[in-house]
Amino acid sequence: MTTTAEPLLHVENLTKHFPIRSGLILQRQVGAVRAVDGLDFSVSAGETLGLVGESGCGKTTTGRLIARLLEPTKGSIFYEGRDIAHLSVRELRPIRGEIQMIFQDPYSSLNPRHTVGSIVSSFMEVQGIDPPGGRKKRVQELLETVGLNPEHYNRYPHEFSGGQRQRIGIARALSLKPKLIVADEPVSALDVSIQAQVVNLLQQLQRDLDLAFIFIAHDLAIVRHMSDRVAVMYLGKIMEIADRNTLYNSPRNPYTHALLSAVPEVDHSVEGDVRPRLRLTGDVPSPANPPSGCPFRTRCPRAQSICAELEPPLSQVSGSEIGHRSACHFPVTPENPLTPGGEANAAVIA
Amino acid sequence: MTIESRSSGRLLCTVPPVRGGEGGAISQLLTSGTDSSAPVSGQVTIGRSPTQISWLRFRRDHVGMVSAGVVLFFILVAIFAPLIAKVYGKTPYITYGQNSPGLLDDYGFPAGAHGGISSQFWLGLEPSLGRDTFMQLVYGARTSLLISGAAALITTGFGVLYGIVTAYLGGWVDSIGGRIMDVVYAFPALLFIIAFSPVVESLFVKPDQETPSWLRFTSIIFLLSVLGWVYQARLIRGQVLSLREREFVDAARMSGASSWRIVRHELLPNLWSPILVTFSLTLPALITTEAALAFLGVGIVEPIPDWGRMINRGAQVYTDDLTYMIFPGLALFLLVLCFNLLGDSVRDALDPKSTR
Repeated sequence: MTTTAEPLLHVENLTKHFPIRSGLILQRQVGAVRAVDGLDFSVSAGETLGLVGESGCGKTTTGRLIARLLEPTKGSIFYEGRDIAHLSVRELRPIRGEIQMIFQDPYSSLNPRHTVGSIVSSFMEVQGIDPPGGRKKRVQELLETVGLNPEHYNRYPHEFSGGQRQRIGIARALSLKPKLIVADEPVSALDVSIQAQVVNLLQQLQRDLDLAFIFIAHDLAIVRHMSDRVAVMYLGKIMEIADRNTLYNSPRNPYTHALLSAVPEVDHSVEGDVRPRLRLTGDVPSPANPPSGCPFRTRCPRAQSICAELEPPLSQVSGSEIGHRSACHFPVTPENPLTPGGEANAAVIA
Repeated sequence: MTIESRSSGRLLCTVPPVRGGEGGAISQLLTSGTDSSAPVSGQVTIGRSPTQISWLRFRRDHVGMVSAGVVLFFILVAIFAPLIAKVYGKTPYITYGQNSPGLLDDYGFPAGAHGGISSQFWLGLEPSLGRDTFMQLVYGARTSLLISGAAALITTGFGVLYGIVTAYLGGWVDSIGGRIMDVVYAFPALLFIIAFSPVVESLFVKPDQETPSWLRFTSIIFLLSVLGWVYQARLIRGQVLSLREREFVDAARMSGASSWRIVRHELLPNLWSPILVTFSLTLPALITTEAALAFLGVGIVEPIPDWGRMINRGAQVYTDDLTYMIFPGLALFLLVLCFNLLGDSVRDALDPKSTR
């Protein structure tokens, strides 16, 4: 991980509340779904930040906020030092080329009525870019870059498989030479065998084109494979953020522990390497009515009265590496590990 | 590779183009590999658009093709009615039965058998007035198709526009737009037209003047359109609501496209199927409505030929002269049936997933 003076993207107190309205005509606001609630993080050029968390934790909303498909309720998104959080469609147009998105569902992200050539070149058309040699040549180069046959220019999306379609989506995202790509679950709709191909393609592109990624996924293994740093989200908040190895090897937040121990382990033979499994009970609270204090306290084995009163700040963990931040009053440390039977609320199984 | 050769089997008639295309892509994949990007040189691959595939599918549908033929026949008859009149040598307005004695009997009914069918009057004569039935049928097709066609175009056009605007803008526009649709939907259409067609005419025509025939046409088309657009608007609104959630719309927004471009370039190409289907099913409904209005005496009036009015006259005399009711009835039945079958076939061709 490199720490430069100015990160490519810097997010401060990023918040998105979806209003809950009621009433036939006047539509009073009666509440809000706190999909994303005060995020702070930054992404350097060429770096991959992984975002993981359960369904409904706000990963996708975060991605869509950064891509500015949604306007944040509060907070700032600094892209190359400029706040893009509240720019209009017209003001955003020049920046669109630099921040791009790869979508989750390759069957819904390509317009079935347009040819591959028309889909990939439409971005250049909107932006008024005429590359040397013409748009068609550029599209064919892009198709080749993502491992498709450039002769497929005149074909329609329905003639391609899911993996090939996702490649078309990637070619489209690359057509404007972006610096940052928000990849919203780019492989979760694909077969496992195809997932590896697409992930490898993304890594190859990152090396060749010096791209920064925000990689959103719920598959912990793929996030680990892809990311330089990983942020764990729960109920619209970042619970823990650290570089990949630190987060996966020595997580400090009980929630990260729970998330990691939800992954079935194949090899239990190595004695001593077995982490105590933390099985959570109960459901994720509703983001329309989140718990006071720490959002995880209702399911946390270590929760005490202070957790309900005071929200733990996302702060540097003492005795850990720089940039390893965790939001917990009672972090898991080597001196204070999760112990079987020692926790009140949840079953910890050795 | 040719896709046609794979899909000769009758059994596979709805799927092969798609499957053939996929097979093509897969064999391409095998030859070119996925991660190595070695293009197959000299091979030109041209994909089939969804429109081409639908057309191929439609051409294999015999019912649809026959219906399309019948519908086309009626349309051609309507367009070339004056030419047919010239060849046939008669007009729908001259009262042949009254002009030349012997064609009608003392009670005003055609003298000959079966409504006076003869080599001169192919489908017989109208009772009492003695006009030529065949010519009235030919010109009646004109009336019917003109009114229903114009009303279908207007309702579909306005409905599509309304549906796109309310669904795409959403929010309070959609709330208010939706309530307006509910209100219009609640009007009893036939009663409304019966009650209001005199009102519309009185706005333009003084009581002592005669209503010009173009005004009759316009007012019926207007009233049919005012009450008819809601069906199309609802359908298109629903389609747009589901389309705008698709990720390709988000992708277009990521390119910086304006709303206008998204509607025109992303949504509209996907809306042509439902538009075509609703149009081809609205038209027959309007044909029957128009005939019903004329039957009830609030539609097209004398002397302009109209099937609905012919059936009305036929119903008055059917005990003595059944022929005069049978021909317009058959024509109306055949046209509406074929239009409906055509509409079904169009829908099946455009949406292979729908099951009848």
